[in-house]
Amino acid sequence: MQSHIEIDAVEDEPTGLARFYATARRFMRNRSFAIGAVLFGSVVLVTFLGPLLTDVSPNALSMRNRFQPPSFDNLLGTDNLGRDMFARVIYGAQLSLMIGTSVVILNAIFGVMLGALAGFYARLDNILMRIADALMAFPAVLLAIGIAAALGPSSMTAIIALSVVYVPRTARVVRSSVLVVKELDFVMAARASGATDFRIIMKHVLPNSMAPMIVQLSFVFAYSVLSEAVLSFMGLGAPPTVPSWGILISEGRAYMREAAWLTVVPGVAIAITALGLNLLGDGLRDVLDPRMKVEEG
Amino acid sequence: MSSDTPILSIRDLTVDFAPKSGRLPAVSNVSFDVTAGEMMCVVGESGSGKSVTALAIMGLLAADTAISGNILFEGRDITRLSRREWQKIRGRQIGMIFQEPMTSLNPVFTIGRQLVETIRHHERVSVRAARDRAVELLDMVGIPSPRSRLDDYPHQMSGGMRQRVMIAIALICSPRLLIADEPTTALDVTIQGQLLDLLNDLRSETGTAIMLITHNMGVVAEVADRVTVMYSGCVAEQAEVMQIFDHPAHPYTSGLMNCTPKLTVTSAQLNTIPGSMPNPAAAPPGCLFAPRCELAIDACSEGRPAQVNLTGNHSSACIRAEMLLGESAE
Amino acid sequence: MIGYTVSRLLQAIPILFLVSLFAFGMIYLIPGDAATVIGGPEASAADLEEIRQNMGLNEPFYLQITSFYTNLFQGDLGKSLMLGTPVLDAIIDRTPITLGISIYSLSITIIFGLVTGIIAALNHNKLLDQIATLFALIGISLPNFWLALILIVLFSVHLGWFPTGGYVAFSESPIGWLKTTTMPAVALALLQAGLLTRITRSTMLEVLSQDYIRTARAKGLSEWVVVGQHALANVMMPVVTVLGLILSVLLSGSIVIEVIYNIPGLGSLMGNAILSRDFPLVQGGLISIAASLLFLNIVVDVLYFWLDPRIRIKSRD
Ligand SMILES: Nc1ncnc2c1ncn2[C@@H]1O[C@H](COP(=O)(O)OP(=O)(O)OP(=O)(O)O)[C@@H](O)[C@H]1O
Ligand SMILES: [Mg+2]
Repeated sequence: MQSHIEIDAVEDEPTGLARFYATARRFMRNRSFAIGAVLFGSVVLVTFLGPLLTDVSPNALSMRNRFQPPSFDNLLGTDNLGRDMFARVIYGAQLSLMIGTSVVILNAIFGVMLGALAGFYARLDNILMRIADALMAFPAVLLAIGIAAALGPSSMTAIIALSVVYVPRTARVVRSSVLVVKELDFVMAARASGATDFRIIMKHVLPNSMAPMIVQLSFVFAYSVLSEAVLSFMGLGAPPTVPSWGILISEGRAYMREAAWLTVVPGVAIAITALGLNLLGDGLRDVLDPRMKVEEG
Repeated sequence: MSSDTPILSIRDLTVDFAPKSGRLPAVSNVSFDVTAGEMMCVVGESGSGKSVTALAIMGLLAADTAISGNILFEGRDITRLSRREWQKIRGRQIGMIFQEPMTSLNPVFTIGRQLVETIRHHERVSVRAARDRAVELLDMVGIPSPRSRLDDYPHQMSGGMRQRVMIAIALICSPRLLIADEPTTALDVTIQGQLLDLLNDLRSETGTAIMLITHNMGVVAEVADRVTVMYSGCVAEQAEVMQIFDHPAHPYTSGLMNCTPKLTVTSAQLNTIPGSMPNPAAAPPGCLFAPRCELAIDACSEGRPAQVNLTGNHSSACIRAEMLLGESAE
Repeated sequence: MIGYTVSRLLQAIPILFLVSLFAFGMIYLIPGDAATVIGGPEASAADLEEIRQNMGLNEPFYLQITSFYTNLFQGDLGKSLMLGTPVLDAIIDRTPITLGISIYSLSITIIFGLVTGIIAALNHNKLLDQIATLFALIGISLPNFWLALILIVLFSVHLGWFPTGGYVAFSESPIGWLKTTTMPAVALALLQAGLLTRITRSTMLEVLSQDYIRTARAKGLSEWVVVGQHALANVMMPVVTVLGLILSVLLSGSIVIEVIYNIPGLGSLMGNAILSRDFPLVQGGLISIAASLLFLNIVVDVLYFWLDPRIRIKSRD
C-alpha cells in the first residue's frame, strides 16, 4: 500500500501528511471504496472495541437466560446455554479477522515471491505455473476441506489450507503484472546497467506490480472469511469449543425454528465483512488500475 | 449536379459532454449547410469537434449528452426524434463511414452477414436476393471477386478493403447524404487516393451529397466543392473551395494550408502551426485561436468573434478577415 | 482445430500427474501415525492393522507410490474404508445426482447472471444497474451454506413448500425431483450468479463502447438487433471461458449444500468421506473431480476456439 501511494502521489505535495490526505480523498471519492471502507472499518472497530462494551465472556453459561431474544441486556440475544450472542459473535469476528489477516500475509509473502520468480525467470515459470495449475484444478473449498481433514481441525489448519488454495491464484496475478513490468524501459535500463536481479525485483518490478496485487489480496481476504466459515461449519476449522462464525451457525442450526437469530446473526456478520472487503477490492481496482480486468475465483 | 436547396442545414449546434463543468463545449454554435449532390469538406485539427458534429447529425451521441441548436434534414428538425424515427433515417437517408476501418465491423460476423442484415432491414427481399445485392455493392466499391468475399470475416481483409465494405454498407439505400469521417486517415497513401476517387465517382453517379471530414488540405483541394474549417469546436471559416485556397480569410485556414504535406517536402521541413488547441478547461476569453495567431492584436482577446459574412458564400470568424482578404487580393 | 485439441490434451498430462501426486501426498500431511488418525480413538489394534494393510501403509514409500500409480492406470482408485466398496464405483454411483443438480443450478446461474448482467450494462449507472450490481455483490458475499439454512427456515418450516431435505430421483417423480432439488440448486447458484453477473456486466459495457456497435446503429438496425445480436455475440465468448471457473465453484459448494439438504450425491459423499477420514475415497474423489474439471476446461477452450472466427481462421490458414 505504502509504496503505491508514493508512486501516485502528486509531485508538489509538500509533507507526508498532506500527501496522505490527498490520496485518501482520491480513494474516498470512489463510491465502492468508500462504502467498503466504512463497512469493513466498522467490523474492525466493533471487533476491537466490542470487548470494552460488554464484560460478558463468550463462554459464560447462564441456564436461567436460555434463548433470550435480542434485548438491551443481551444485544443479540442468548443461545441454548444462555451464552451472550454479542460476546460470541465478537469473538468469532476476532478469529475470522485473525485467520483472514494471516492468509493475506502468507499470500503477500508467498504469492508475491513465487509470482515474481515465475514472471522474472522464464525457466522457473513453467514448473511453477504447472504446479499452480494443478492446485487450481481442485475446486477451492474442496481442496481446503481435504487439507484441513488431513491436518486435523484447528485455526492453524484453516490458515494453512486456505493459503495453499489462494497462494497459486495470487502468484498468477503477480506473475502476469511482472511479465508486463519486466519489459518496461526503466527495468530494461536497470538490467543493462548491471543491477542484480534481486535489486531489480525489489526496487523496480514489485513496486510497479503492486496495484493488481493489492486488489487481489482484498478479494483473498473476503474469500478467506467465507471459506473459513465453511470449514468451521463442517467442523474442520476452529475446535467446537471456540465460537467461530461457522460454528455459531452450525450450533444455531438445531434451533432455527424457535431462535432464528442464532443462525441469522453470525451469517449477517460474515456477509457484512465479505461485502465490505469485496467493495474495497472493487474500489481499489477502479482507483488503482481502471483497465484491470475482473479477476474472480 | 448541385442545386441550391440544402438537404442538411445545421444551426447553432452546441454539444456539451459536461455542461456544468465550465469546460469549453466539444462543439459550440456550429452552423453550416450541405446542398444536394455536393461534396462538402469539414477540416480541422485533431480534437476540433468534427466527429462529434457528425455523430450529432446521426443521433449517435450518448443519451445524456447536452445538445442544443437545430439540425434540419430535408427541412425537418431531427434533433428531437424518437429512437424509432432515428432508425428510419439512419442507413436509409443518411449513411455514415467511420474513421476507424479496423474496428468498425463486427469481428464475429461475416462481411456477407453484415451487408445482408442491413439490406434486409431496409428492404423486403429474400436472403438470396440480398446476397446478390451485396455482391453488386462490393463489386461497385471495387472489391475483387466479391462473391467469394461474402463469407470472409473482417480480420481477413486489409484496412482498405474493410473501408470499402463500410462504404458498400453505407450505400445500400442510396442515401441522400453520406457522412464520411476521415475515411482514409488510417490507410496508406495509395489506398487513400483510390477511396477518394471512389467517393467522388459515387457522388457523380448517384447524386448523393457527401460531407467529407478530413484534416488534410490536400484532400480538400482535390475533391471539395465547399469547405468548412473548424477550430476548437467552432466554425472558423466557410467558403467555396477556390475561395478558401485563393483568399483565405482566417489565419487558421492559412496555417492549415501551410502544413499540408507535399511529396516534395521532407518531413523535417513540414510546417506546423505552433502551439496547440486551447485546453477546454481553461479557454482564453477572446478568439480561441488568438494565442497561436501571428496576426493577433489586442482586440482579439476581447470577446469571441462572431461569424462575419464576406463575399457571397464566404464567411469567417476572424475580426481581421477584411484585412486578410484585402491583403491576398493585392 | 484437431491440432489445438490434441495440444490442449497433451498440456493437461503434466497437470494431471501433479494433481494425482498432490492427492497421493495428502495422507503424508497427517501428523503422527496415519492409521491412528484414520481409525479414530476407538479403533482396536486389529482395526489399525487392517487400515494399514488396506492402504499399504506398511510398505516402503517407493512401493506405495508405485502401486498407487499402477492401480491408478488400471482405473483402480482403491477401496473406501467407510463403504467397503471400490472408490470408483461409489463415485460413479453418486455422480448422476450431483450432475443433475449442477445442471439445474447452472441453468439458473446462466439465465439469471446473463440477464442481470446485460440489464445492468444497458442501464449503466442508472438505478437498475445499481440494483443489479448490489445483488451481484451480495451474491458473492453471502455464505451459501447459510443461505441454504435460511431457505429451509423460510420455505420448508414456515411456508411448507419444499421438504427440508432428502432426494427423489427424476425417474421416480419429476415433481418430487423438482421439490427436493430446487432449494439446493438456488443456494448453489447464488455465488456463481453473482460472479457471472459481474463478468457479463463488465464485458457488455466494454462491448457496447466498441466501434462496431456504433456502426450497427448507424446502419439503422433496431436496438434489439444491435444489443441482442451484435453485442451479445461478442459478449458470449469471454463469458464461455468462465464456465470452467463456475463449475469449479459449483462443485465446491455442493459439498456443504448436499450435506445440509441430505442429498446422496458426490458432494455429500466427499463431505462424509472427509469427516470420517476415509482417505482412499478422498484421494479418489479429488483426482476424479480435478480430472473432470480439467477436461471440461479443455472442452470450453475448444468451444471458444471454435466460436471465435479470429482464432479459428488464423489457425486454418
Ligand atoms: N464521448 C465523449 N465524451 C467526452 N468528450 C468527448 C467525447 N467524444 C469527443 N469528446 C471530446 O470532444 C472534442 C472533439 O472531439 P472529436 O472526436 O470531434 O474531434 P475530431 O475533430 O474528430 O478529431 P480527430 O481528427 O482526431 O478525429 C475532443 O476534445 C474530445 O476529447
Ligand atoms: Mg474524429
